[in-house]
Amino acid sequence: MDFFAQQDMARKKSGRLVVLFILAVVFIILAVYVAALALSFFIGPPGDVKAPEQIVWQWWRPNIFFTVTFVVILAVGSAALMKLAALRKGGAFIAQSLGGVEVSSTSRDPDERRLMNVVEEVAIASGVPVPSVFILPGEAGINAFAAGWSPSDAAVAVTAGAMKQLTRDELQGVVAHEFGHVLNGDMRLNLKLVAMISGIMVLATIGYWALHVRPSRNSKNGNGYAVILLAGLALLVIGYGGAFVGRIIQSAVSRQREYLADASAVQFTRNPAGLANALKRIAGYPVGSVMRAPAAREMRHMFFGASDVVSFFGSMFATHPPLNQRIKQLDPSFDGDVSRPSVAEGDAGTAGVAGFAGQSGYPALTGAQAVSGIGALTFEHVQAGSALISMIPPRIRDEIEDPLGACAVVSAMMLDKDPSTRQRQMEAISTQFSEALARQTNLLAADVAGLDRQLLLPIVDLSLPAMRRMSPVQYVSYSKTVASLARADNRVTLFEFCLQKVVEYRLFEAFEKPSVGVNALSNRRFLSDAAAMLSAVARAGNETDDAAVAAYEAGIKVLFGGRLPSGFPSIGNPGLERLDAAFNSLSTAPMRMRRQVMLAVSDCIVSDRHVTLAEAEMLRAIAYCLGLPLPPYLQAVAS
Amino acid sequence: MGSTLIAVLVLVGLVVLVAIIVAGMYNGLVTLRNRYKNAFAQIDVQLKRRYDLIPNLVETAKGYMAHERGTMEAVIQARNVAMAAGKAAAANPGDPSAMKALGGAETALTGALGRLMAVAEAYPDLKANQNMLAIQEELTSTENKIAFARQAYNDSVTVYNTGREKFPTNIIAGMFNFGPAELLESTESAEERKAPRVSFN
Repeated sequence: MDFFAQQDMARKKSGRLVVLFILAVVFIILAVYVAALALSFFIGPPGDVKAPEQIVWQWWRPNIFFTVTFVVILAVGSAALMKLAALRKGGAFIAQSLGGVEVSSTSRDPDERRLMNVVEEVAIASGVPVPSVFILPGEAGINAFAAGWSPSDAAVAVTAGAMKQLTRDELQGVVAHEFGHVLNGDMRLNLKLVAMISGIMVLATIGYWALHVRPSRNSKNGNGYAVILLAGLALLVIGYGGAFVGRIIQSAVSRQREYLADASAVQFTRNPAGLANALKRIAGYPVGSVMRAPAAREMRHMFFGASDVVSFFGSMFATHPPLNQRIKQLDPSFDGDVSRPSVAEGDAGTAGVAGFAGQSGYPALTGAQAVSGIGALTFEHVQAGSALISMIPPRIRDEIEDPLGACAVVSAMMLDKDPSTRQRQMEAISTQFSEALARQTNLLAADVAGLDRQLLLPIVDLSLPAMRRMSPVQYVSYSKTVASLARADNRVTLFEFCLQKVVEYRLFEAFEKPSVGVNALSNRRFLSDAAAMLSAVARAGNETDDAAVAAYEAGIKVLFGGRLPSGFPSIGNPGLERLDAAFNSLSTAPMRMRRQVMLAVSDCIVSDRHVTLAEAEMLRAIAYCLGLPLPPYLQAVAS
Repeated sequence: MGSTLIAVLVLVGLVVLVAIIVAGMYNGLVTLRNRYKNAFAQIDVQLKRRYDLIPNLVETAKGYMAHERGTMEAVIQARNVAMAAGKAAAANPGDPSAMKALGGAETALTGALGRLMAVAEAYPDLKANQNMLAIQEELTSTENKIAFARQAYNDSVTVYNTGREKFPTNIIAGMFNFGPAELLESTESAEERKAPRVSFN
């Protein structure tokens, strides 16, 4: 299953989740209703005592039913919505609510350094922004999770236990598993699930409070107290019943995703032994993967390993497949002896991996091959990621660890070569942002200008953790600055344009947490936007008009299933505004459409049977703009 | 019978709603407080870097301007005071007096550094020293970063303070002891105050 299918699958699961949630709420309403009926039956009418035969059981009592429905929907709905609103604050917020402490990218602590390196490698290799990294210092168990509303505001958190107990290979396996969740589109699904569980759990919480209400001494209304007590008891039981249903849903959604993330991790690291040994460590470690933070309960499905003590209800309600089974999946020779580590086998687990790997030389790449690389990370890519990071000059590396430095490096990337344009851009920075940023940008301009082109996107990815630390006010003026930098001269290249869009989108996602996932486009709109993008790509990659037209038509053919229909839109010359609009609408188009555009763009780029590094990076930049993680071009990194 | 029950149910519903809202406001305040504390951590990183750079700067300058011992000692003195204030503020960014003290100490340090730089103007050899140039550039860069991080910190303090003063959050803030946070004022670099013309080339 490729990246696009995974994403669609996660989306479908989200839809099913809503259905399950509604079912759970209906179940709760019915349960509360029956409890309310029983309660009123038990208490009976106040005042005079009646003979038992006078109290009749009635199934249908509309006033009670509607009150119950109203109260339950109000309680469950508002609790779930409040939770969702809190979760939308992003990965860093979630990690902090579990007691996480952010690891500074400048940390000198060797364990923290190791963790940062592992995370950065995998992120650069996959083409997703580097997440914020957290350590959970209070947790002795071996566990980890990835959380976030989108990859741009993701956080990866690792427990202190995992930091202490795992070797580098094992830690890499765990981190790769978490990136599997990020790339498989599990994060948002997981957060919706958390909100849902906490909505369902709210009744249990209320019941718990109600049971702890003490009657005031001088109160004469013993009956009212009894009602509260009984109602509380009923709510507690129903609440736990709801939580029980929640757990089933949680487990059903979670278990398959865990196997999938394990498989992804092996694909990324080509080292099933690392992950298998990490799982064995959990199995052989007294604390296992247990999480102590109370907030961990409703997030059970988000963790690397099972977060609670062996489930009372047994395996049916386990959020994670049994450790033995997970290990067996990774290491078929596993016999249940967790004290013996699996041995790394160089090439296991990568057969049939798509992508750039295995293609010899630049020209062999076809559009379809390029697109199949999206979200399909391989071991080679992780190596390439680490190679790319090591190619970044130390000075730049140092700068992008600070918010101002990161902003300055990114603005310096957008500086024009022409001195007068540059002067204008500098003035734009100081008036729209600050003198300090202008000065810092100026200090770094020479270093940034000398950078290898294939380092630019990785540097943008690596800059994001620092940029996320800007205040919202700074974010607003910085994104304005970025936009005006690109517009300072009208001869902006397509690559520069894409770079600016990537920064713009990532910051937007990180700071504003847009809720819009997919915007359906009409076929006409899609075609016109795709044609605008293809025109720009064809013109950017070809000197002569004829060559541009040929490249453009190669792209158009893909959109029409391999043939050129009569009356297809002819090549245009879209200006910045038009291109901007096209990118914006395509970046939220359904995955199916984005896939088609990427296929068309890649065929357009490779139509001359030759891929230059610049073209490969252009393809990557466009994929980034469309929110598709395309790994680095391997041959280019190797050479 | 039924009516008692309905009253109880509605009461329960109201209590739940209020509880959820109160919990939401409390969590909101905690988030805002964490945010400004984290923002301070960002300043702290760069402040420490500045404290580390200053002895190097003074060491390099010593060789050239032995007669300016007093100025150099004043810088080291101010740096030590600022470092202690920084440590106190980092230990508890929520303590307004610690933050005020840090602001004052940083201003004093910047002033002392400015005087040292002014004196250094008279020593062309020192100004041409490669090591000196490198340290000066790093100092400038660090001061830029401090200014930026300070802006982010002050932004988040403002948001937090507004949040805790607004009705009805102020009730929750009072109940759970969310004290006011202090802005970090005036650690601007000498360069910022001079507002030099930057030549972009």
